[in-house]
Amino acid sequence: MKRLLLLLIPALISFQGFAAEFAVGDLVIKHPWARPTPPVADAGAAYFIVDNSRGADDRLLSAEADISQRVELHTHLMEGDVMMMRKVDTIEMPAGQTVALQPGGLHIMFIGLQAPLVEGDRFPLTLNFEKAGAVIVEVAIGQQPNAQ
Amino acid sequence: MLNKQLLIIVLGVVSVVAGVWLGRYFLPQTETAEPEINGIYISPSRKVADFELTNQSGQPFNQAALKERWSLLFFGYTFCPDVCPTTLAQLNQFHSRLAAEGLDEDVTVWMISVDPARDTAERLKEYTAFFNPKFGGATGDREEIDKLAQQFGVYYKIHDPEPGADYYLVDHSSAVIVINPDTRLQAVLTGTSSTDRLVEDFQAIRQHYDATQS
Ligand SMILES: [Cu+2]
Repeated sequence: MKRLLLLLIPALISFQGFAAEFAVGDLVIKHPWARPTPPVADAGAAYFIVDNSRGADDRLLSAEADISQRVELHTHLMEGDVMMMRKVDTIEMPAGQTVALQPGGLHIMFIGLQAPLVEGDRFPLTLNFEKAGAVIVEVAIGQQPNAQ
Repeated sequence: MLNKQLLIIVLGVVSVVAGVWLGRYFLPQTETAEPEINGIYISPSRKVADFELTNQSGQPFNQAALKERWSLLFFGYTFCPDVCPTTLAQLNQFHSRLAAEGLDEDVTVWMISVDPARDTAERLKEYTAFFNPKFGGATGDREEIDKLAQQFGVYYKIHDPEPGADYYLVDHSSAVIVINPDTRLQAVLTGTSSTDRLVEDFQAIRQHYDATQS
């Protein structure tokens, strides 16, 4: 019965369309999205919000998707108007806080895209959290959701 | 005694500040007041030094391409998944807003790739056209890219691949360079601003330029 419920939850969630939320443990992952990419682009990025207002300290360890050769966790450092993108090993999810992956900051980076990311499409992305465990979210390809 | 002197000094400072503030507030702004933009307005405008790159169609990209029109230059690279698409998408909104009012004919947006090892002319063509078919792209020899970037204070740095990685990243300025129809540097737009602000700033720059022509 519990298993059936677990299977039903994603179906119910995706029913809401763009305003998708995905729960794992005490974490809620909101509005995963990615910008469409030009046909020649080798790289892409995905963003979402992680609400950890109910949980304990956690961290994102890695992400997996089959849309590209590599999937990495990245951030941006800014010095004046210079943007410096850097790979990071983990992304901290402190207890009681909401962490936003957004343009110009933290993102999931896709390197060696198999195909362009096309507006309106979706793809599954697995997020591996240290404590909450793994969760598959559905990334909507389009513009930044207003809800953010 | 000391307190009295201090009070006089403080009152003096306060009245000077108030005077400047009131003056700004009440004196009529002259037509040639410099626009207050999100970034740096260059006054007087600065001559653009020679450079020789190649555009998205394989044609020369040099001073002649900037003549008698407004040019907005953005420095980036197509491997960039975040800042460059974000900026180009915003510049597309900006250009479309100008187009809606018929103000886009003399405004060209250029993406200058600082990563010629990965970005060819054909690649730039497809990349920029994805955001707006009217946008141009250009790149070339490192020396010539530097000639262009350095005179605008545009910084970039190409990194070596990280151990075990088959790609490399590039740090780069997110500034948008505004060149006026006399082929002179007129402004450097910085900071993440809304499309509204971008249109406002550009229109203010253009109006100021028009007003000061004689
Ligand atoms: Cu990245």
